[in-house]
Amino acid sequence: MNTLLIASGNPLRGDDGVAHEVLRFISPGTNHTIRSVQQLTPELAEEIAGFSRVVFIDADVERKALAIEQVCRTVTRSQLTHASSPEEIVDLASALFGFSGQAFVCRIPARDFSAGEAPTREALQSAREAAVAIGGLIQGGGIVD
Amino acid sequence: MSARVVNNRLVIQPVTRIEGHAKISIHLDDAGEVESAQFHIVEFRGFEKLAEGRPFAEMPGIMSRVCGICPVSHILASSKAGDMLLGVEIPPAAEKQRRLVNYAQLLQSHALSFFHLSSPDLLLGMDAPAEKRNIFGLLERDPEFLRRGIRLRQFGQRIIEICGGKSVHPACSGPGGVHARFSTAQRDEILGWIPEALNSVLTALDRLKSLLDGFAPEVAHMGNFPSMFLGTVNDDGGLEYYDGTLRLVNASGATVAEGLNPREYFKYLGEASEDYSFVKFPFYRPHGYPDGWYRVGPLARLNVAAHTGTELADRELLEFKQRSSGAVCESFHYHLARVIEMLHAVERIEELMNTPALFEDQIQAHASVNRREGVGSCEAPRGTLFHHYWVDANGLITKADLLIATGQNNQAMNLTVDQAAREFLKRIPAGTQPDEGILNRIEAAIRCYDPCLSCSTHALGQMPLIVEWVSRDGEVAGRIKRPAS
Repeated sequence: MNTLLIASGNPLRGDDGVAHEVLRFISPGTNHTIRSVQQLTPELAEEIAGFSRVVFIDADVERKALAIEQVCRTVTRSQLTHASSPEEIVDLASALFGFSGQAFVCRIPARDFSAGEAPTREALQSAREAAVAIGGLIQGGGIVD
Repeated sequence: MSARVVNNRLVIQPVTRIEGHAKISIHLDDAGEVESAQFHIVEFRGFEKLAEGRPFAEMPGIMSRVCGICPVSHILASSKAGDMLLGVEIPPAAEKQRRLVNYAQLLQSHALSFFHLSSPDLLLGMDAPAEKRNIFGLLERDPEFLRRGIRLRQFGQRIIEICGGKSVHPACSGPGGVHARFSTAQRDEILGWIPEALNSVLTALDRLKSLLDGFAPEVAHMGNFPSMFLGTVNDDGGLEYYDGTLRLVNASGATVAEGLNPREYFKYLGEASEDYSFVKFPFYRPHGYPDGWYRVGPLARLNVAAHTGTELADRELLEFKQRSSGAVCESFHYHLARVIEMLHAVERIEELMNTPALFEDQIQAHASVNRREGVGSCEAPRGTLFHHYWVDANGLITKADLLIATGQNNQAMNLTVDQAAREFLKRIPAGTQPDEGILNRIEAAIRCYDPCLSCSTHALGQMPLIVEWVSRDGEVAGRIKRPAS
């Protein structure tokens, strides 16, 4: 099962860029592909359709603990016209490009979004934990809480 | 959208399906009739100040962050200003590559505007339920149309990624040239996209033209007024996006000025400011402010150009110009002009893939600072863009002036909102709230211009929102605020 890992966030806004750090902590492998983007856009839909599993990784200001959840498949509408949610991208991938695989979102707790390139120590620690959890998922171990 | 009449003032905020943050204020008289309307751009970016003290070679990378939708335009204008500071003429391969990314930028930006932002109104109708007027409503109605739009934008993004390493804020160009040679393998990949891209644009064109008759009131009242139009043309008066002279025509199509050197824009273009908006109000100096206002962008470019220089787009331009005996003045036709430009861009991209100079080894001209002042200009998706830098002997920026494309449409957007509000809103009886479809038309009037109000640093997902209500004597009588999360 090949997996696409998509990290999104602004790397110049502290914890908002922590998802990209997760990709750095994940060991290279043959059954996953990584993609770093500033924000999720509809153009990702076709690429996702070429994989049997996709994991979205993003900072989340409302989370106190790391969480990996299945993407809810109901359509939501983003107020932002230049960025979409994981749910919206998966819906597009399914409807337009035939994606029928698994979709997860990994939410990294984040608190500091001020200008700067380095996430906080706490966010980085969560990123390491996320890398371990995602690594397990890639290896076929399912979601580790 | 959020809109409510309070104390004779209707505020639409945020304006949806545009790039960036804005609000519309509509002032009503005591009878509930539209008295005036304004379009407020509520972002303050401050890049002219951010540039001070930085080496000019950094400017393309810094200035690309002005926008996440049209960064290439800022990179190119900034690079050209740097070329002038160096006093160099860049190698042919570099010039071709810059043209290539400029066309790619045009294609992806116009695809976003047409397919993602405006086609929900055009295909589903202005009065379609608000929760359906988006790409997901389009997904239900016509998934193939949406798929074509996504793939078209993807094509433009892919070219930018090829030339600059990534599609948003690419590192494709700098003072003196570009950063990487273009390969035949890259050519082959791009050529592989061309048949589908052409087919998709032609499909979009046919679809749009078939719908126009159903929007007669919108065509007539969404920014339909005489104005001047400004755009870049090449030596034989044809459509030009990278390097040429500026031409200004009036509503009759007659030339007001031509052969204007973009590097001397400040001699014929001035900038005024108004206290209700952060964006400047440019004007043509010989006509003064406010009379000297003009429009830029796709509609303006097709009005000033005698031809496009590519076969299919020339055919469309000829048909486009027949919509008026003079210049085409209806802002609703920005949509049509945009799709014609997409067609032209695909044709030019294919031409460039078959241009030997694109593959030459020399991509950079080398020099140190030879001038203290440099100006770079290009046609961004939304209109003519100028970057003007002053540097010290060490090449550090002492001053920067940016004349942004969308800003040059500022006056036109204000007049458009006023016209649309008077026609579609007309009157709000006391105690009532306006119909949502009517409000959508006022927003849609702005979308004709596809304004880019800069959203690249918008990281968190909730726009700050302020609603004020103002008494008749101009005093703020109340305010509610939702902060950015």
